[in-house]
Order: sequence, then structure tokens, then C-alpha cells
Amino acid sequence: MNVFIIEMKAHRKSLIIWCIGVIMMVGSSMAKYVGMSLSGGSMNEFMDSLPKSLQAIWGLGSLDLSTVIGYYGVIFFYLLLMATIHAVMLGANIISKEERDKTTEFLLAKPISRNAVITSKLMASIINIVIFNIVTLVSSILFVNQYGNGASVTAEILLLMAGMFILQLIFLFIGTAVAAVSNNVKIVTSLSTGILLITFMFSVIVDLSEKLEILKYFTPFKYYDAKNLLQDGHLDPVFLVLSIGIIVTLSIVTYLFYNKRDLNT
Amino acid sequence: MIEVVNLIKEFDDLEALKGVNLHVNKGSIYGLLGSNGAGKTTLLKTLAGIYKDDKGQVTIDGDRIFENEALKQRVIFIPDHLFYFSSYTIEDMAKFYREVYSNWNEDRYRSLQSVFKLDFNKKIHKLSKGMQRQVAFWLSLSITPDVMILDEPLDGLDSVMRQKVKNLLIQEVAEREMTIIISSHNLRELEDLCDHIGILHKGELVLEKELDDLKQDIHKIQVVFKEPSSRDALKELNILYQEERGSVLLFIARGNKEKILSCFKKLQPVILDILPLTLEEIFIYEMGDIGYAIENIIIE
Repeated sequence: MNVFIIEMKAHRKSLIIWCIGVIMMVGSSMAKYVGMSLSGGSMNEFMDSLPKSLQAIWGLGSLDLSTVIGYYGVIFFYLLLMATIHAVMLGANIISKEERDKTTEFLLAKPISRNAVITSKLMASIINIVIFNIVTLVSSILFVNQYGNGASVTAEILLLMAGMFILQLIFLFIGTAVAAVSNNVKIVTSLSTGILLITFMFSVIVDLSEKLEILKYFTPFKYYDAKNLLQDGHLDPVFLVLSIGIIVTLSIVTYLFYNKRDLNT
Repeated sequence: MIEVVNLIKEFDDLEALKGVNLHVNKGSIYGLLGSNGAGKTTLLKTLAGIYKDDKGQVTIDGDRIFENEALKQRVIFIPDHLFYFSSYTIEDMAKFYREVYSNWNEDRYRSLQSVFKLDFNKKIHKLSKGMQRQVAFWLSLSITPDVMILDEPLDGLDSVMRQKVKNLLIQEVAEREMTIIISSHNLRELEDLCDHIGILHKGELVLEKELDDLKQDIHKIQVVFKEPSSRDALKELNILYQEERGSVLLFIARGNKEKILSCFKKLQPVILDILPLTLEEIFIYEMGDIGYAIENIIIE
């Protein structure tokens, strides 16, 4: 319980900054929609004229930019990136910080088991990403509905945020697993953000050519693609099962390795 | 009480401990000496349950300490680098300890304030290094631990505070039979505190002995003779060292005190003094064979 409260306090400031960032991201992007929607369908035509690679990199896919939710789908692509960077760094930091700050011996000399330490840290991290998600959800609903000319898109946003939450969990556990396994504190953050960037690149590459379709299983970003979610209206069960599998595996890895190795002091 | 059996500890390519055997009795103050890099800190951290005892055994009261929450409730470790949460006051830190340790003694905590004379609401980070160390002792003693593991604990304390802390520790040992294992590379510091001494050298415990045993067996004799005379009578003594300082002769001899005295008296000296050796001297004269280990401890 102690560790949980200490971690919540330690991450409070960074969480606030991330939340402000995400609100500004949604707010400023949606403000641009007003200007864009005035030009009507011409925006779509312009986007279609762009090379496919550029469309993929910008996360445009085949979203209909003339509708507010289509436009939001593009922003969602960037929100995903923000949320996952936050999650992966949080996960990597929260587990490795004792070794980085040389506080391992302080912690481990106390009558607290390593499992309890990890559980408290994971609880604090999950609360952090839930707050991040709720802030994104609420600001999205407010801004999108404000510019949405009456048509409510709350249900769609809820669906997208559900996808984002699972993605946040995956990357949080990627961070914690890397930190638990790695003996070298210095590389933990760069390694886990590196994994994030590589899987992100994969998700862009998948969009470039249909031959690379198979790669989509290797990048969690594709599991909760805005385009597919909005088309299907629900989370893809295959990807959902895959996600749960990844999360469970990574959490087991986190616990096992943190218990197994001698932590740097 | 504390039992270390054949402990081997390796880090990557470094073998920090090479089969250490160590025993500390309940209510004893055990001084762990050793040169830099001898493995003192590694041994203490394993005793505190921070490192895993993957080869060999480390037990306290027969139980393994690693990941043993119940046992860690009774064992406190004061490391050489102290850690406090940033911007915590002494009282905040006490709150943390109060929640973590079930045997926290509030009365003790309050009463120790008169010893350390630090303000409860002072931010720990604004205190000097020595004062932060006092806080560590203050909080640790408030937990009323059964075992204290101290790594270079008196560094940074002024001599008055050093004495106060030593007294507090001795008091705990006398009243509650607390067990202390204390590391240092300074013999002089441990001499008036410990009853047992262990010397660690390059990952091995080269000596483990009761301090009184060491002292009873070796003596320093200062003697002045009226005129140069035959010293044949001294031949039956085991003399480790002798030196002349003007008319004063200095001998270091091993053996029974009475026997040594009677030998010297045969020579009818003008002055005859028999003195106990300091721990430092004992090591210089008796433990020459461990060479480097001792030398480093003494010179520092």
C-alpha cells in the first residue's frame, strides 16, 4: 500500500503534463476541423490524390475526412501514439527506477516482498493509464461533439478508447517486462521505446502494401486501427484474444524476472 | 543467531564472496573488518536479504532471510548510502516506518528526540550528512529491531555523536539482547564496541575470534633494568617483538600474564609495566601472515 501511494505521488506531475498535452492535442486538432469542414468534400479529394505512402504515414487510411468521426479517426492515430509512449515509458521507469536511483537496497531491506512491490507498482501504473484514458475520452467527447453539428459520436469514441486502453496495457507491460528482464538500467527506456517505434513503423508499412498484411499480427497498433474499429463497430475478437495473451505473458515475465535476478544496488 | 554457511556470491565476472562462513551469537556485537573491496558490503547486503543467497546459506534464527517478510520485520539494515524520500520530514519518514514495521515503538521514537535533538518537522534533505545518519539511527532504533546490520555506520558523525550512538547501541544490546553486525575498515572504531571480530579479505573470512581471547593471550611489557644483564631468563618466553627506546625496553610477548611477569621479575628490573595491547597492535604483531588485509585496516 505504501509503495502504491509513493508511486502515485511520484508520477502525479508527469501525468498532469501528459493530460494537458492530450487535451491540447484534441482541442487544437478539432478546432482545425471547423476550417476543414467548410471546404467540404474537397479535402477528401486532395487526400486521395496524395501517394499511398504519405497517406499511410499520416495515418489517413481510408477515413472519410468530411465527417467529424472520420476526422477524429486521424487524430486518434496520434493519440494512440501519445498514449502508448506514455504507457511504455511509465512501465519501464516504474520498475527500473529503484535500480536507477539506487533505492533498491532501501526497498528490499524493508519487510515488503518483491511481488508486493511489483503489484503496487503495476496498480499505480494502471491507475495512471486509466486516468490518461479517461482524460482523453472526456476531452474527445466534449470537443468532437462541439464541432460535430449535433450528430452524437460518443459511442464511437468510447469504442476507440476501449481499443486505446488495451493498447496502453500492452505497452505498459512491454515496459515493465523489459525493465524486469534487463540488467542494464541505462538501456531500459530506450529499448522499450525502441520496441514501440519499431512496431509503430510496422503498422505504417502494413498500410503500404497488401502483401505485408501478415505483419499486422506483429504490431499491436494494427489491432485497434481506427478505420477497422469504426467500420466494424466492435473490437476484433482475434486481436482481443491476442492482446490478452500478450498482456498475461508480459506480466508473468515481469514478476518472474524481477524475483529471479539480483537487482542492482 | 546469524549463520552464514559457505556463502559464494558472484557478479558477472567478479567473485565477491568465496565461501564465507560466519557466526554471530545473540546479543553479540560483531565487528566485520576488511580492506576496500574485501566483500563486506556484499556480505551485509546478503545478510539483509537484498541479495539472493544463491550458493550457500544465510539464516537468522534458522530462517532464510531472502524474501522473508516476517524476519525482515525484526532486522534493520543501515547502508553506507542513506536514502530518504525527497522533501520528507523526519516525521513523514517516521510515518512510513510506522506503517511498514509492526514493532514500531512510538514512545521510543519520541524519547530519542532528546538524544538527537533534531526537529521532527525538519526536512531530511536539508540536514547535513552526519545529521541524516543520526536520523537513520533514530528511526532504526524506534523499530526495536532484534538484529541491526550496519555498514560503515559511524562515518560522518562527530565524536560526541559517535559516542552517543555507540552508547545507545550498547544499551540496546544489554537490555534487549539485540544483535549487531557492524562493518568498518577502521579497527580503532570497533575496538571499544565489539565483542567479536571477523576479518574479511578478498572474499574470504580469514579470522573470526572473540576479542577477549585475542587480548588475553598477548601483552606489552615495558621494562627498565639497572644495568645491562644477561637476559637468558627471557628465552623461555614467546617474544614476538622487542625494541629499545633509550633505557626503556619494550617487549611484545605471547602467553600467560603471570608467567611473563615472574620471568621479568627474576631480572630485578627498576621499572616493570605490563600493558594490554590495542587491537591494532595485536594485529600488527600476531597476524602478520594475513599481511595485506591487516595492514590496510590499520593504516586507514
